[in-house]
Amino acid sequence: MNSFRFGQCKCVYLVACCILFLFTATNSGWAAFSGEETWAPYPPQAPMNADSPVAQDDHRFLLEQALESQINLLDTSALDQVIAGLSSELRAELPEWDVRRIVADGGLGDRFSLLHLITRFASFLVREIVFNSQLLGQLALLAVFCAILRNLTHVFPTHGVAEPAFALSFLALLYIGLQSFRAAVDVAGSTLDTMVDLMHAALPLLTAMIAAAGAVTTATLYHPLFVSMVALVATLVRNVILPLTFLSAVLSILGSLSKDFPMKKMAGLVRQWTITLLGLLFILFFGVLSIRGAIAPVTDSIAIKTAKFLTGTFVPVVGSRMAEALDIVIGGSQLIKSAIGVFGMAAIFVIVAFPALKVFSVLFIFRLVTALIEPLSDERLVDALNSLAGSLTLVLACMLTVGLMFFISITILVSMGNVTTLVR
Amino acid sequence: MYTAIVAWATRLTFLILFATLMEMLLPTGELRRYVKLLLGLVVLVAILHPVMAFFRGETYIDVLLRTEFSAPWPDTSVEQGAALGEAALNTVADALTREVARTLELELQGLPDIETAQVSIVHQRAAVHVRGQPTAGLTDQVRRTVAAYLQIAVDHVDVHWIPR
Repeated sequence: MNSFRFGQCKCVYLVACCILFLFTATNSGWAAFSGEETWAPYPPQAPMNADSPVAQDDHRFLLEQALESQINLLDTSALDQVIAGLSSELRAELPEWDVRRIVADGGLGDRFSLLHLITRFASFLVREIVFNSQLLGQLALLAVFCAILRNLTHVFPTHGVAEPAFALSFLALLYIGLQSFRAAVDVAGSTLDTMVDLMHAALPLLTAMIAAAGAVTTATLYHPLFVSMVALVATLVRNVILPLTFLSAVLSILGSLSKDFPMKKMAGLVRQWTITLLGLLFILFFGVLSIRGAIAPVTDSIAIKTAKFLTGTFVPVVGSRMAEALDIVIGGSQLIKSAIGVFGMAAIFVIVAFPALKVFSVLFIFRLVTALIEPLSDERLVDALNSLAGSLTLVLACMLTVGLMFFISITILVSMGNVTTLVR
Repeated sequence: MYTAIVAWATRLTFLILFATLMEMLLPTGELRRYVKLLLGLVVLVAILHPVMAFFRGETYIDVLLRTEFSAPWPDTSVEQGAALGEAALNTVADALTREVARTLELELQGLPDIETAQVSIVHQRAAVHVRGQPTAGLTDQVRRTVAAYLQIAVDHVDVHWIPR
């Protein structure tokens, strides 16, 4: 009863994660580029003297000037390096990384439409499952072998011979299972590392653009918070949660190996801790990040207002238009920030989605094998494979949760500077 | 933390494998029960090892806290961003100034006896280079036009004549 409720809870958690992830991805991600309403800063602040003849062309020209000078000065080498370091498979799925093009097109290109993505996912999943069907064959064959040995026990006069032989083939089967489990954990770990690298490259860029948009106080306050939260999540998941999932897998297998030392409760305990830790981390992450400073935006707006009066160094004709110029610069900064943010979101999505599909295909094979061998094999074997699949679900949940955390933190950062505009 | 967990799991794995093997190989007899009990106790001790290590003072919390946070820190992104914004503002201000100057040049070229005019604005001062027939009245007119357009004092406008 207890294990049933536990399993149900896990499933609900995983499904909720997936749905939330997809929802945010499709809604606030690239949908932001097709819809106009999220582009509040563009055209910047509805020109004050819209009726003047030169105003429209003039603003566009000035915006281009501002964008050009900022993009030229923006140092994206860290992000370029992370993208160059991705596997060619993943890089092929990413939208093209070019701030100028994303700002100009206002989109991520044809390659990144939802329909295209779904077809890519489907074909990738089928390919992975076909690739892993070898594993299915091995596991099923060994299970059948196990069952035959089990039945041969009654043929031999003494039980002493058949039992070690069974244990040996059992171990061989679980070795294969653990091996692919380990591969899945490795995939999860390297995915996590890539995501953290990407975040560490993208966060300074986003912060720089927030500061460029005039929200210097906000940027100064939040940047350390974001960077340390990302580092904390990475360290905890990499060093505690992922090893714990592996531990729970090993424990449940060992426990089912021998009848005399059952470790089911221990494995269950470890698994429960893992889930609890992950949930706590999730809550902590969003708890910290959703604290919106009440003072920072106001301070920023004062700074901007002060900047507006710093027009004494100009000829009055120019000086009177410097307020507009400031708005244009802020709008340009927000455009670039959104471009970086949307690219970052797409990159996080791609980086987490494909490895997650990989892990999912292994999980699918495990569940399939478990279902296939249940009628003919030993109960212990079925239990062991089933708990292995359960631990693999945990690994998947880990990956998706971390991906979701990073994804949403970019969303928060992208929307951050815009709050200042509202206050102003 | 990672190494601690792995070490614990490895120790436990080998111990249980060993216990299972022993249990298979043991002959059925009076002794078997006691050996099993003993093995069970050893497994219990192995499981509790981290807890006992904690009470001995070797805390795993230490190990966790010692794990490096690989964040690029401290970084200068805020300063960079502020510089970026300033640079963009300067660019836009320059563009605005140039545009005002250009409009002014067009206006000046509309005056009689002036072929070309070149206006450069630095802070509160304007310098006008005019190619044309220099007369005192015209100089004054240029100076007044420029001052009126830019809303600055007349003596902040320098007029230079370039002879034809």
